[in-house]
Amino acid sequence: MSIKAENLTYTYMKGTPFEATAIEDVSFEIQDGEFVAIIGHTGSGKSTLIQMLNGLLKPTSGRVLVDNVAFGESKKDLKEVRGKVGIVFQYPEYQLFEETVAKDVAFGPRNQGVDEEEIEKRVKNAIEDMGLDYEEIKDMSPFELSGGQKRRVAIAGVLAMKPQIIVFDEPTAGLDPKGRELLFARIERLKTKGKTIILVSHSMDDVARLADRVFVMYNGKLAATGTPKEIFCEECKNYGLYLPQITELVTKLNGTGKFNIDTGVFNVEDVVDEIIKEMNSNA
Amino acid sequence: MDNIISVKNVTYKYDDGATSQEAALEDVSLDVKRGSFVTVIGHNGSGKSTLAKHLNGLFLPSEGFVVVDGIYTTDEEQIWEIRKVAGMVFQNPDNQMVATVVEEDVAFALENIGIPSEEIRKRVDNALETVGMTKFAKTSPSHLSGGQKQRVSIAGVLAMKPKVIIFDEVTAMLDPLGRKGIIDTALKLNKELGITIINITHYMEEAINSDEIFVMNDGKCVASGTPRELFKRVDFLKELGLTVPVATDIAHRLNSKGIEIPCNLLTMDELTEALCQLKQKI
Repeated sequence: MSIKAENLTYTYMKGTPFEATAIEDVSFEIQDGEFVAIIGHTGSGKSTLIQMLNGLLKPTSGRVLVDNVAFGESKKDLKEVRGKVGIVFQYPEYQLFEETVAKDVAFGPRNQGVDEEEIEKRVKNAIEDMGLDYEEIKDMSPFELSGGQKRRVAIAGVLAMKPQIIVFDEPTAGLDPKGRELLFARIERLKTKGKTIILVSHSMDDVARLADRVFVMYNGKLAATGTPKEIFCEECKNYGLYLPQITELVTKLNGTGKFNIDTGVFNVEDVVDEIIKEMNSNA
Repeated sequence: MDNIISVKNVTYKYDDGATSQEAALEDVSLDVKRGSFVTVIGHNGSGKSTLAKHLNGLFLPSEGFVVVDGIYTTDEEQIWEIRKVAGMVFQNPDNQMVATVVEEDVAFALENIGIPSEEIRKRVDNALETVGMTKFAKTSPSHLSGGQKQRVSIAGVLAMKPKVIIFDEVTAMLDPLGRKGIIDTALKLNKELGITIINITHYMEEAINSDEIFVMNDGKCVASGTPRELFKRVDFLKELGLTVPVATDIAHRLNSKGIEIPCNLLTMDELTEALCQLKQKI
């Protein structure tokens, strides 16, 4: 499912002395099945922007089209768009509240009015999509799970609503390295299953590795868009961003004049292969 | 160097009424040298934070003991003395702000322990300057970024003139710039003021500059060493669900594919230099 933003502007506390424009004239289009990452330093407008994508915030001006349809403010419209665009906020496990994992994951679809048989199917699929064992954890209290598992159960709660577009806001914050790896692998898999993914993250290495396209937010504006290779160059430092570590290494190696490695390489495995190739090239 | 903190055979069980009681800490022993910068790593639920809360008497051991600057944490009469010696900064900046103005927030603990107001003024100004937040002294904390809030939290601890500061995943919620600001601040407190730093983190890159790293796993301290000693044990750390700095990971992989490069490199600069030297030889 595609999502399109047309001239989005959002002004906080409009008409008061505290008026502040968080988002200014942002337009973009994300295609069905695309994986887009939104980056930008704290306060650049990322969170405000994503909340407009499913009507949690109403733009001061401009509009959002989901699947080529603009949505209004009616309850019906909002309910419909929230079924299409799911947002996973930071630390979603803080929102777990039910007695059992299965009940917690079922909360969203039950609210949508889905019938019980379908709910059970969705809950099972969503839990399994997050790489967890449904039979093992369905009757457990969410609070008995480890930190990484809790996070994934909370995400399953969003998946169970069957959104076609899923927005993740810093999904791996606070997770240990293994938990980060597991979760990103699951998000990647959602893309292969045809979901459109929008990832907000500070982790440049993961963004570079995973995204088809990268959007750079700066002072409330969409300052640049492009492939990871186009975005992660010296210029990105102007936006208060860092290069992915792999790119930093490749830039340093190329800078010595002794290496010539593609700056579009972002995986540890790939950069290792490239270095080996270079080492053997003059042998 | 003597030890400012000694943890001896500490076992800790959460007293939550549950019948099956797994120990959150099991027979943990470790020493922190005075003036050192120490990092604690371990997967979620490995006991890192439980350990941290033992270091200033927030938790008391079920078995064993903890000594902080010569005082046993079980000595109830001296608990406030211990909290003065060992300050703590937590993960979520928003949970630690108590006042509506930055400088009042920094002064909060000092007022609580009855420091004279002139002395408070001096300490607050110094603390804010050390963390680079002087120009925000009159600002409301709600107008600060996460990284700035964490620096204010650090200033609040610093104003108490602690000998040790424990950072419990303070960078987890920050962006890369904010994270760098905090780590630079921690290093500065350590190098310039001689404050012992204990940093608990999931980011291996933060551990590179520490004097010693302790690895927690399932409530036990399973390894320790300097970054160079420890991070070359790549397979061991990955088995524990951890990782190593990216430069070390790449060096390790190159090495296993026949490129003769040292496995104990920590930074991209070191890796670049080693690769250039090697290429010249070829």
